[in-house]
Amino acid sequence: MLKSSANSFVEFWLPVFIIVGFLCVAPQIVSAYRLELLTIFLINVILAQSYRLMTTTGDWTLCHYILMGVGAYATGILAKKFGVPFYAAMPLAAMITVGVSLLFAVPLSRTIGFAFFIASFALGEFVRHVWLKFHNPFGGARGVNGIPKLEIGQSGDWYFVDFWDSTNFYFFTLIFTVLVLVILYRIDRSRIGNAWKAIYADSELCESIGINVTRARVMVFCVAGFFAGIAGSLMAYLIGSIDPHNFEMVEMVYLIIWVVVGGVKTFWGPLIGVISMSLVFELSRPLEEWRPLLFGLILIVFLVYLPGGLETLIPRIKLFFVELFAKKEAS
Amino acid sequence: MSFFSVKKLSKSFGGLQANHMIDLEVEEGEIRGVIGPNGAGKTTFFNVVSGFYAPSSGTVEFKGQVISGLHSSKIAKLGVVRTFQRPALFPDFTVLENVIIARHLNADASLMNAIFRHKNKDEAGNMERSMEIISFLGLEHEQDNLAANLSHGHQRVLGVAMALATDPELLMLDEPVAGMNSGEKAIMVDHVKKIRDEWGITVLLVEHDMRTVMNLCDKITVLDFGEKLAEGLPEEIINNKKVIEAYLGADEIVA
Repeated sequence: MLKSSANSFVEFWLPVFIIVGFLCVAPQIVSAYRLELLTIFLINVILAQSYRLMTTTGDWTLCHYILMGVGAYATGILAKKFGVPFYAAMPLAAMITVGVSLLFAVPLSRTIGFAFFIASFALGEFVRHVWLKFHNPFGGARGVNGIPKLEIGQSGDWYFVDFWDSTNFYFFTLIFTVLVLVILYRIDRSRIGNAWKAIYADSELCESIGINVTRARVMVFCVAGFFAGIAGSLMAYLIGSIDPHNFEMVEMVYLIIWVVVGGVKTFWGPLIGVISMSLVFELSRPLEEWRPLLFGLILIVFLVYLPGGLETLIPRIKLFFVELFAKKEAS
Repeated sequence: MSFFSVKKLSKSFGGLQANHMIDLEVEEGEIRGVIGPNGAGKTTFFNVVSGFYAPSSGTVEFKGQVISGLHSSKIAKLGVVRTFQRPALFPDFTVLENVIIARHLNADASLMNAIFRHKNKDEAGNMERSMEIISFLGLEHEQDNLAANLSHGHQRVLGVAMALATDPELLMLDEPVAGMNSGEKAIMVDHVKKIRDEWGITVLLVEHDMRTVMNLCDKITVLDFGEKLAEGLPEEIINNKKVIEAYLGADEIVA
């Protein structure tokens, strides 16, 4: 039941402090190039964690990357064509993503399992083709280029922050990531979060105790879409240009590999997945065209030998240390 | 206005008439049993009444309000709650957590509440009520175990506990003693009696096991081939010729 506070400090707060501490000093110790990779990594954390929320009800979609794209396109068009400043463009883009999610979720909530999976893919590809075919306002195959960098104030103001500086943008993203993780963690631990997990376990039982399953599934889709939209918005500001090729199926496959490798049962699974797979991705840079093969292999190995993902190793590692300490105390 | 009434209820799947013109009235505070041989349409009847299927024709009324055709979560909200034939539970949660999740209708499950509120008053109340239900059904020593690790009998009792957690007025039990040994059966019969006697909850149950039904029910309705065959007190039913024929076959000598 309730853990002692010392225990929760070691298990929860200590790793959190270490990771956040590292991320805070990272700009001092890594190169500018690495820092941009780290920024992308943080955006990927938001994306993977929002996808994990989506899977809590048991609905694995194939269109989460497209939702991120909706956020990115919305930000790009708002910022470039309408000159909307970032503090309005980002929430607006997130809300537009929620709107699109709602349009997706209502028909999708009538399907389950495999049908849901495939229908979500079809809807996602539909949206991607809309981006490709319509030059106004989506820019067709070339996408939206020259998205203005975000700025706080004008140059000369005392509060002016220039996000051309990659360190500043990195901290901007870090703040968002931490904020999103805190919110998602609270949702995960809440009554509504548990109700969503319960739907995955037994949706008929949920109906019988008064949980409206259809409404809950639509809601999860929209909430996950909201955070995917924020990730997309950050991505648009970071890269400065987006086109439909950024949101092809292969990106979705990478997202699925992250969460399969990490696991989705616990909150930490997708984090572990993104961290480990980002490392593999960077280390395999010399392999170039062999990389898809490597990732495919990793996916298969995990599905066969560790279907619960890396997170299932945590209790085993914990047990190992507990036994180690017990032995030491005994001797 | 009766407490719970089923009027001319029919349900067909394609050409198969699973339920045909069934009438049923349940008084408040009653324990009513619905029995019938295999394939008599008991489970279909149960699923239609609890909102899992929409009826082909006819209505179900609860306290004067038509509930047939409503979404099953809505029916639960109105106070008619069902259990399942199979052990239905959330296996990755503890027994206590299962019951707390089942307090959904009595809690604020909004997203804003999840994100912004720290300590929650009604959650403390839900916790207390859940523990009360758990000890009422004698599961307190299992409280912190994972639901997946319970014995079959305890899993079925947990199902009843979760139904009770919604604070129902009419509890519908789908074969509450299916697959149990005689000891577990006796405990379940005790629980159901206690639920009615001490908490005043009306019970409607579908059951296969004759002895349990005879022990438990105030009144019994017999279904056969999707139609109502007989209705009455347990003694009347047990001596009813039509019922005996339905169960054992007409003009057959049983060795």
